[in-house]
Amino acid sequence: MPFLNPQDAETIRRRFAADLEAPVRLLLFLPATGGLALPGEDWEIAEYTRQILTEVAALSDKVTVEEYGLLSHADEAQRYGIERVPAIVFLGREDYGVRYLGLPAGYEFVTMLETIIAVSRGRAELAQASREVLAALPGDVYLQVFVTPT
Amino acid sequence: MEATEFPSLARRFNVYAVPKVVINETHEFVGALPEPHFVAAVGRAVAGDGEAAPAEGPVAGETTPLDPDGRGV
Repeated sequence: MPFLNPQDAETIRRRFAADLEAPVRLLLFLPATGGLALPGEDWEIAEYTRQILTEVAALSDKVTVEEYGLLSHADEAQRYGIERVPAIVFLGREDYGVRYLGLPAGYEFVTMLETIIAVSRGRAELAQASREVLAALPGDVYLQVFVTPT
Repeated sequence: MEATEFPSLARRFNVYAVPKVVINETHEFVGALPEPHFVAAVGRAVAGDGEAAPAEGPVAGETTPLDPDGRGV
């Protein structure tokens, strides 16, 4: 059974058509393949995440999904700072450093859609005052936002 | 990140309600802060001001208990 009903899919398709600019690559990091489940790895959640991303990517030519194994693609995992799965790396014209860890369902499904659009546009909808404060920071800031799907 | 799927991280950062934001792994706040307050919190954390990992207190914005039924996370 699909994650998206036809109405939601159409709404997202239109939103993507209107708002996406640059192509977006979604790098999906998954647990080890081959039916071998390592402790702490939840294949059900990973599989559901893959289904959601696949359905979303089908709604725009500008969105593509690439699958990587945490262990089988250790170089890529290290390059993108991925230590836990499932994890999604959002790449637009460049890597803006945005990652999502876990299942992007419930309210977080909308978060993921907005992240895809923001990364595609390459800019955040921030007030000028915020931009000035952030521009004055001496270096990168590591923000972790803990959420739940409900 | 999804708190219930990564309990070790949630424990490490004392996530009892969401959303919870951790800045540079040292500073934190709970709740959906308005943008100016969010930015100010980031600025304070980077400057090293304010309490590191403060205890939970009244905060602006809505929060949801992570484990409302007390079933354990």
